[in-house]
Amino acid sequence: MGERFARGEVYIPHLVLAADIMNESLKILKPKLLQTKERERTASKVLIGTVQGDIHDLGKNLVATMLTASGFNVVDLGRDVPTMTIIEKAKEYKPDIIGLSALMTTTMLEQRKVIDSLKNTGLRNSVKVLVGGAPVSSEWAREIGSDGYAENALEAVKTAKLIISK
Amino acid sequence: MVEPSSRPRIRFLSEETIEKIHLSATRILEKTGVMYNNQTALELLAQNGATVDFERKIAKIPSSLVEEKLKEAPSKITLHDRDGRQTLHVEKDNVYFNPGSTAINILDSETSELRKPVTRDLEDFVRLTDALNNMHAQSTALVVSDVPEAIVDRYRLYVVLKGSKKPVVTGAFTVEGLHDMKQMLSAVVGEDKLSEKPLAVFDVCPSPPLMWSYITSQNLIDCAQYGIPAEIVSMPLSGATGPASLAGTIVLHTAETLSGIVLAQLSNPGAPVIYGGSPAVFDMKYGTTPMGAIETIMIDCAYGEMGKHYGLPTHAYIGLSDSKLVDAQAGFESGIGLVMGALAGINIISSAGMLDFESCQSLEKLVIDNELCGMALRIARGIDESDESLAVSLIEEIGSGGHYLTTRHTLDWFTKEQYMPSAIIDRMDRKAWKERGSKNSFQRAREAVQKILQEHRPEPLAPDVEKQLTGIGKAIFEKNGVRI
Repeated sequence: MGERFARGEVYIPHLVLAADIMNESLKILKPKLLQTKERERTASKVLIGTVQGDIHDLGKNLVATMLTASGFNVVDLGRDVPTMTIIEKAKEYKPDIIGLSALMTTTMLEQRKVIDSLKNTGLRNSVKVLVGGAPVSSEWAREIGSDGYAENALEAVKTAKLIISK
Repeated sequence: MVEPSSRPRIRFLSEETIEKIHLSATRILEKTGVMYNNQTALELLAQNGATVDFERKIAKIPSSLVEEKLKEAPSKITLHDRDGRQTLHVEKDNVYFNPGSTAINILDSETSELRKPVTRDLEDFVRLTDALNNMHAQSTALVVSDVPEAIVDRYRLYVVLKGSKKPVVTGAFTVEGLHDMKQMLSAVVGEDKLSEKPLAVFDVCPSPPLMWSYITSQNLIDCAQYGIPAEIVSMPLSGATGPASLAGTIVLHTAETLSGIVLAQLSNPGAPVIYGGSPAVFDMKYGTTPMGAIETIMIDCAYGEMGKHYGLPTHAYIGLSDSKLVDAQAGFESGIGLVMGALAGINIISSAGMLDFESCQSLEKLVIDNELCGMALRIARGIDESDESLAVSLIEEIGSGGHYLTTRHTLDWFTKEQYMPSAIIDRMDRKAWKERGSKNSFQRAREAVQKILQEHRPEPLAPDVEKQLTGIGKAIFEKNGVRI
């Protein structure tokens, strides 16, 4: 589906629907798959959420869906997530990646706060940060010290794989 | 003056459909409800007859309450300039333009590259807007990167208030921001004149579908209590955070806007609200929010009809372009949107200068759009149908052959009939155009920008007001390490 999407043969609704089907199927299949335990153990963990002050979660949900469909173990913190909660959950879940979403130019500023808090609490070096959202750019990601930026959900999967392999 | 009856008008919705959309929206508010992430708002709604689930933060609003509160909202807002003079009569089919706002990037004049704006850019932008004849209001257009993010909302307004006397469309990024910004406005117009002679409008945006964040709902409550006009900017995305059908998106937009109007009126009966919006269709290929899409423009015009049906002042982010450069796409998307918005009679049209999905401002595009706004105003004036305009006796007098150039009628009429464009619009013959450097519209716009920035000196603030505003600014900014 990803390839067909890239070729312009299918559109975002088809892609998301396919990922939803994949994720629902996995729920049923997982217990029956022999390698389930192996998969659980090796799957990279992603903590994801929309930053504080922002209650838009379409983009974040799409990214979570695509990451799950691509084998990541996703913990979704929801929307309007206070920075402190992200820090606490990061300590609890020890994710490989933290994904931060923001839709508005006014709330994307929170992404910097989360990264600064990760530094202040000594967590920054043990986790990669991936930022996204309509106003977010690779320049912004660089400026605030994020490890990665993705323009859309498909790219988020690629970037997540890339920054984890680094 | 042209008779109002000759004003051309675009209509997408029949009276019947308008009524249907209204009933659908009130039904949604009553049966499904709206989420307000704000305890004060929920309590206020509960006390006034809404069924509130405090756990889920959802208020189901009876249609009787919606109808009652709609009646309380004023049908006109008169915006004043910095000197307290009436400037914009935001009502009926009056059309006013201002720049698109809250761009995080600016397209550099020299390099056409994207960069982060700094204070100097905002000052230039404000000066340019002050000079442009079809920009009737300012906007806090740029998010400058050289002050701490925590105070950038207040800082933007400070720069605008210092640099121009035109009214301003703005917004707060935080709850505290609004109170500080109110202080600044009070310093300029006087504490007691804040609601009597409003100088600024604040955008407040619900989050589709059917949600209000704490910050924006609190901003709305605070605006209402201060008597500051609030522009409710609902922005469903057709197919993503709203139905893919245009009518469905308008229903959702109506429900969200009404949910804001109810909250504002409950906070302070008679609070000034503007029926605004920034919806868009969702691009199914790139996952973007095309503001220049023709369907986005159609939704804008149609919700404007809903606002007029309710007898409220209207606003839209219409006339923006998604192009990354000031090119042909930028011109036609903005041109179509501005003309359509003016024909729909939307009162405040915010968009000039804006590119790239409401994220990038360009000084050059601003001066080009200023021309488009002039043309849009012209088309909205329609064709004068008076006898003098029909000019039958003149035509008989001139007869066959001859010319009209030097008649009294021509001298009287040509300046009021023709919109006189600036040098941005090329109407020279090819030879003259070649002799003057064969410049394209972007090059001409760049020269106009440079000339205006060099020559235009905005009216300064009265010294005592300047002192007071600076004092308030200092108190707010120095806490955050910004020297002004």
